[in-house]
Amino acid sequence: MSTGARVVVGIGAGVVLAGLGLLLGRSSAESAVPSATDATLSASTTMVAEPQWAAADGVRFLSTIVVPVEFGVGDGVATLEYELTSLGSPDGIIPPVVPESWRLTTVTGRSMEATTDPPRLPTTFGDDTVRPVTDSVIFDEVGDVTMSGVESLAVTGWRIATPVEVEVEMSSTIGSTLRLFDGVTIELATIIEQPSGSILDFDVTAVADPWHSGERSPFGRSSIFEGAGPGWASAASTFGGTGLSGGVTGFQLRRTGQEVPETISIRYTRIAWLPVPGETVVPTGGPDG
Amino acid sequence: MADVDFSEILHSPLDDRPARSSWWPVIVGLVLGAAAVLGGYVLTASDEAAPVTTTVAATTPPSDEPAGVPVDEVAFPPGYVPLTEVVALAPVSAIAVDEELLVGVSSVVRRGFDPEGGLTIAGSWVLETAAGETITSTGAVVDPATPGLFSVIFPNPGDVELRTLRMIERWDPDPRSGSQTAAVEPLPGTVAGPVVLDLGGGVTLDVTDITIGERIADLTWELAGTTRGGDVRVALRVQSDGADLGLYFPAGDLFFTREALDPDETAGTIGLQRDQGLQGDLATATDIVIEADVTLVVGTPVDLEFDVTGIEVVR
Repeated sequence: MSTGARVVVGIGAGVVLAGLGLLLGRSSAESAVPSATDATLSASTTMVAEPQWAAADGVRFLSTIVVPVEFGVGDGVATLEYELTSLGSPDGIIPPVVPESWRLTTVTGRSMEATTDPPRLPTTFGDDTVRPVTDSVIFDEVGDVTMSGVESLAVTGWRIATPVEVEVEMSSTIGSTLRLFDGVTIELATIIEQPSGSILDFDVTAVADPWHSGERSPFGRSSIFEGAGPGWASAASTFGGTGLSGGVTGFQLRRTGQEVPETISIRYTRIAWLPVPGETVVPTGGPDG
Repeated sequence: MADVDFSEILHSPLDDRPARSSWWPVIVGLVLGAAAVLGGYVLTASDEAAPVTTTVAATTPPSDEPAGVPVDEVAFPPGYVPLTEVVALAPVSAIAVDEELLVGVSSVVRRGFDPEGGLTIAGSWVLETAAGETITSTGAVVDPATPGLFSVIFPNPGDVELRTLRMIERWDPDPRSGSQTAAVEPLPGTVAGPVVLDLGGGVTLDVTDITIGERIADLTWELAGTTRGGDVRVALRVQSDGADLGLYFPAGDLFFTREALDPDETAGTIGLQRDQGLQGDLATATDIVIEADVTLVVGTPVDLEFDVTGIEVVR
């Protein structure tokens, strides 16, 4: 039997079953209020964001596959939950290409935008839990649009995690500050001299941007500071918050020997989430995608 | 862009999806039929009384071409140029920072790629601008958290249009390891060395100027017997007649260390910090054991060319 024929058969069966259900239901409702001459059938239910597809295929943009998990519309809100999987490496923690901007279009032609922050890291790091990363996008102004009123859902903008490494120079005077290319400011707070060398402590003022390695970013350790050139023995960072959720709030560089040069070179590496356009329609269809 | 056999690439959640049912047309038809009847009924009922709120959830009618990722014979996604049988690359982003221009290169890997002993995606690259200027790369940055994206570093050519990116040499890792014990006087103190670690194949790691304190240690290393450098990781064990007194390991952000192999790095200095759980009396030390994991760079000429005219440089 062809696909079209099966659809027709299904429609016919659906009509028969629904009609039968309505007849039985009306009969039951009428019998429940036999004395009411103005009896009406009133059905008041809450719209629930029912999963519309639980196992749909994904769509790809560069090395990332977006796999829709659940899509629901109700109470003026449309929510898509999805998984992100990277084709970049089997042991990656974060997909380096992630969606940021979304657009939902209704059958009436109305469009609405939504954005997503960087996806959160998984809470555990076992082999089976590192991938995929789960995230969601929420359209909170869909009004009375229902599932059937959604024409399409698309990612319109992406972010690409591009590792950046730069070397900067700053004075070794206590209190010296330096603003880095991305807006992060570092300040030399103290220099502690020890028999085996000197320890330089720096304070870091982050940028309040979810796509930056700030306090609100899940990529708290994406900023790394190291001494550049000879004489630096080690580097370590301090973090706000706990574990992976905290951003870098300071770092410490240790030099071998007592002498600290007037100008010090620092290597700064971080992930720059560069925005790139790229429209990718995400399936909002039925069980077959 | 959804046009590749992803089953041939790494294992993904797609592999675990349940098989599609051939009964979906009937199911969809049932829903549509029921929706039509219920919708008509509700419209009729709404004329009779209010309020009526519907909860009819509709699904998009299926098409003959299901959404998602169809299968074809292409080994890698379009735009990706194969580097090996299991790895393909595509430049996707660029950012200019001070004196540097960093070009982000995306990688995809097929099933069978071994992230532990396999290819380290780095190498030598050449960037050509629209004005015909040729720039050679000075390094690469790899982040372990996002191994599918690395940056190639070039001197910043200024406000120019990019035209072509070429990879002219790939760097493969040649992992080596070695260990060597040396007698010492009571510590803290300095061991002049050299302590020579045999890495095999005539390559040695010569460790000198080993300063060992109660909490930290420093040492200088140099590779010999090879023209190429690489990544050197060293741990130091202080012992008294074979019993451990202290363990010193590399300081810093171990988990999120971000680096790429550097074939020119044949010597350097390493700072170590002591494991707080092992605090034996260094004054009784008789020996030190130096253990090293060294990844040498093996260069292989390649010729991969990418069109980068569509990449916008973030400045």
